[in-house]
Amino acid sequence: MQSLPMSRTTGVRVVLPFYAAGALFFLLMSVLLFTAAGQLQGHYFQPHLLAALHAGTLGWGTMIIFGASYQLLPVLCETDLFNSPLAIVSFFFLFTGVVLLVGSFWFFATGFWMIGGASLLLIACILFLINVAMTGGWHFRERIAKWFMVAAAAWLLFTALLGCCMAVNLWHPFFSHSHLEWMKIHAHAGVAGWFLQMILGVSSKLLPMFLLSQPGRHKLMGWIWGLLNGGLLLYVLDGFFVGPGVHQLVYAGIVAAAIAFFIAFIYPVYKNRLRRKLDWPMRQSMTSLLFLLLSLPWLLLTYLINGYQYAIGYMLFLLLGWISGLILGMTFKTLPFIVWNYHYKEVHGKEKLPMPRDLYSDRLLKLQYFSYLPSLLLLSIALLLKIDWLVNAALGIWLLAAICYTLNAGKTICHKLKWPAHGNSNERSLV
Amino acid sequence: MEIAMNDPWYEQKLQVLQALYQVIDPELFVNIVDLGLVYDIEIQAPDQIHIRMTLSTPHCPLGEAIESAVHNALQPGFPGWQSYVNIVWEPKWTPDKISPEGRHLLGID
Repeated sequence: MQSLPMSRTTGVRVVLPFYAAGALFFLLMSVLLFTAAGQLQGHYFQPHLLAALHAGTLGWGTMIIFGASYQLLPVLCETDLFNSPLAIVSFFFLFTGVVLLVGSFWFFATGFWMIGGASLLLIACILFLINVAMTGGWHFRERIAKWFMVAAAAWLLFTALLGCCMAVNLWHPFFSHSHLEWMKIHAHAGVAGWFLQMILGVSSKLLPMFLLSQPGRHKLMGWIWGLLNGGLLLYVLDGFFVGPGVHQLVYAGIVAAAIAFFIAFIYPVYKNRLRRKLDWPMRQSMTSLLFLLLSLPWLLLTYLINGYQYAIGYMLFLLLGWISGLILGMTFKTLPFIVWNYHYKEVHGKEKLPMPRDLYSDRLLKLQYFSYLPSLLLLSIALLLKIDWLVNAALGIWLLAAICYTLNAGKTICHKLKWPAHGNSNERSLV
Repeated sequence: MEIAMNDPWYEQKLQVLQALYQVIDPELFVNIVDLGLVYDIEIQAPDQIHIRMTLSTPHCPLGEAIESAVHNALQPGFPGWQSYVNIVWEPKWTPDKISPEGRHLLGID
């Protein structure tokens, strides 16, 4: 029997900085949102709100996705990561870019700092795209998850490029259309092109793996890829050449069809899973998908009824309910394994060792879950009924979820090797 | 994974199998034998053990840990022996390969 070489796991020191920085930016985003709670009933183009949203989408969501992608690409593509040093360099560009951008939004320092931050982010996105594109082969059916990742990385690059232009436009206006119209394209390219595409593509491989189920119908994934990118491309072209209007809901419909196809793909996987009982990280991740669906009525409201709170509700449901919710769960399906693998790979099998699930606190995870759900429920009520104090309360509870997450991620990252279990223990830690 | 009673290495293979029951998949918390990951055990005189096995996910990040656990688990019972682990992707692992005991440990059925 011919054996094939196993790909090597991406080094822990490549991946871990993304998780550590992501957790800190998540906490920062939650603090900024709590501080800017009073602005959530107003227009979405406000410096403090923009700072919080970029801390969330870039510092938190994108940071964690970069790190997880560098770890998961070898699994999805069944080969080594193209270039680990490039991944480390992308971290420094991403981290510095987010710090500059969030700071310049908060103090609304247009010009050098904002453009500088946006440019560093652009470089990080280019480096990420190179690493994703160059890892593994290109066969569409066999490597469909990679096609999702490459297209997602390309949309991220487009989003960053548009963001750079917008930063310049705030300093020296040169756009022919309104800045806010460009912002809508920028936001949707980021949410649907980058986050949605990346999450659907990776989930199609990971969910059957985590749930111990048969792989889904991969032909459907090809359709989803086409619908998602087609709908989004039409939306962007329409935005460039035609302009805003209710007709744009057609493109939202095409993207919604892609989501519906994905549900059709994932439902049999979920139904036929061998692991009947979901652990807390999986429960958290599956709940987040509900918020992706719940964000669609908010989108409809933004087109049909006047009121900025609907647009803010739509953004927050996507950022907090869906993207954050998913990462809050998936972190504990990946991070403990990365840390555990680093510490115990060589000694596994010698004697009883802690398992990956022992590296984080289940109690903190439950508290995080039970803060996440009510805070979003309260936030919806507060935005719909325009109750200011309830917005504060909801974001206060959200802050509790963020603290639980950061403590738990910190506990996992700072885990000290404990082996042998008896006698003189050989202690070492990553930090 | 079955061992024929008329196999000249029956006892040694049984001992290897017992040792492999100690190797736990860190994600599923079930040993690799009951998960159906071990395909074949071969003993080559005088002191070589060859394990042919797979992983539940090709190129699983925990693959190296599981491989080293196999070597570690065999060491105490076979001091001075060489162990070789051959990871194969054919036949492909599916959940159908999980033993009834493994299904019970996973809380299935």
